[in-house]
Amino acid sequence: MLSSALAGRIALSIVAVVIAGTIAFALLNLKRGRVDPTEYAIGGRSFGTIFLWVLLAGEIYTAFTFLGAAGWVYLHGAAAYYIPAYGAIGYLVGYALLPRIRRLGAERGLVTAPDLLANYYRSPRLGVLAAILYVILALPYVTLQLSGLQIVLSSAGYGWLDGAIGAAVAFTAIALFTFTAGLRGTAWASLVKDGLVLAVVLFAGIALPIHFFGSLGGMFAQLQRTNAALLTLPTGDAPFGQVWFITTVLFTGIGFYMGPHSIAATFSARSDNTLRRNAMLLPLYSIVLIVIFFAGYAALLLVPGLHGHAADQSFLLVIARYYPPWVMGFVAGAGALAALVPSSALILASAAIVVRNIVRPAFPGRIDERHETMAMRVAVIAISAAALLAWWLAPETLGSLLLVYYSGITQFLPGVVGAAFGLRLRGIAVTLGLAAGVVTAALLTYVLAHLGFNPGFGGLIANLLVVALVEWLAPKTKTSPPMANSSFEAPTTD
Amino acid sequence: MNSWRLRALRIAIALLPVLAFAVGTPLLNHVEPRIVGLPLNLAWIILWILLTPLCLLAIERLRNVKT
Repeated sequence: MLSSALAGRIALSIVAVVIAGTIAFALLNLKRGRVDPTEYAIGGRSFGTIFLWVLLAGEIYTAFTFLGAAGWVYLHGAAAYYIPAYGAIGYLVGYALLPRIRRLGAERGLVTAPDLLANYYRSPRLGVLAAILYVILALPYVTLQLSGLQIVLSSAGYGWLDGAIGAAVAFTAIALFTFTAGLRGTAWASLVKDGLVLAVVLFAGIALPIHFFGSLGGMFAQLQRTNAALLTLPTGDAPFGQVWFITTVLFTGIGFYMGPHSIAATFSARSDNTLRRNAMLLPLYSIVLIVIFFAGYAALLLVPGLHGHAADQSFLLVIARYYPPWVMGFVAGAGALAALVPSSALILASAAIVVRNIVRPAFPGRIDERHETMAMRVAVIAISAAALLAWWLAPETLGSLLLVYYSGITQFLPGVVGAAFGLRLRGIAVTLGLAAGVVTAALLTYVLAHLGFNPGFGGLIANLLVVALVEWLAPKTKTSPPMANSSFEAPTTD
Repeated sequence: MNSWRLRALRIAIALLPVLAFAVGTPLLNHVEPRIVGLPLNLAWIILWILLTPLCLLAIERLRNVKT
């Protein structure tokens, strides 16, 4: 048996090599030369099937999925099945929605999600509100990745090194990488990340159960003897019960692509057909989640008795206990990339939003196109620093903000769907609906916690009611449907 | 088929996975009978993960049908 200090050094060295190797690989694949803002933020609208595959699926399945899905199964059993279920519904919605969003983006020179709303509804005010909401919702999501990173690095350190310092170092490295590389670099890094995650997940989910229980069937037979209640959902409106499952799957599924980085990824697509082809292939990505569930169930039988956040470490504990440090090194390396690479995409999307939809409207005429890329790079560093600082100072507060991430971003659905399908909604209706939806969802989450149903659903109903009410009450004007040559000029970047 | 019917058919096909996942899973809330060793509800999810691309393929084929 190795000492924990030596084991920690071996595992953490492998993690460091994995992260550095991924960054180096991505940088080597970048083109040299001047980078315009469209290239920096959305890859110059040139991405094909493979890049979109990793950006539209891989970037949504983060460290939260990697550790959290196993942790969910460990604690709540069958309730975790909501994750692949909403994913599949998300891909169906994406098939219909994303090609239309991409087309609008290409026709009107849009780069960010608030660009889409501000331009289509001819409402700069809506753009600013959307931008502020997106950044507020995205920041806790990035800090959550930092916490995930800390868990991974602490496990790989075998108690020899505190994960927090390692997490801060790795995060700084990825911030500098994002500064340099833009979305194209993130896509290359994502390719490596998904490959490694797939390898690790297959090992953990297939090899672990076979090693310890003879077969998957053997593992489930044992679970049925010891943890039978976990294998089904609680009935009715119990916590994580059937009603919760139905509402959460539907709600999270329709909101699947409302994240700022998902809309940016959509704009990065080369053509509508690329997006449609992707939607057909993406559901297979959910198989990865199923395999993670197997790992979580195996951990439940092998290291029982973990509670709360400790469950997120469950399968890392199995690796630490039963496998040599080099195996831990690769597993933790994959986990670290699963935290870092989606952070990179999210920070990049947020930076583009801050520059184009908050700073530029605040200082008209001050940032022209030549300076926009540099402004985005500066924003990448500023947002990364803010995320790091917030994580260091107030991780608890941010954790609770995250509860409204999905509830919050799904409130963008009426505006985005309206734009994609050419509905003649007023900007003011969408703006007020968005505000009402977010406030209602937050109230349901924090004030009336532990509902039997998904709180975001309540927010979406309030949102749609306000949109309908404003449309009904607003004076009937003879406005033409929103056109490309709108009074609110889309910042063109070609 | 006219275009209206084609559209309705495509929407109907799209609703199959939605209903299967969101409503089917909580209704098939059983472990037995186990399918190749897996609990019934989990096997159902895996089945529909595999069927969803086929549904999308069918929808895509219908999109290209001349009306």
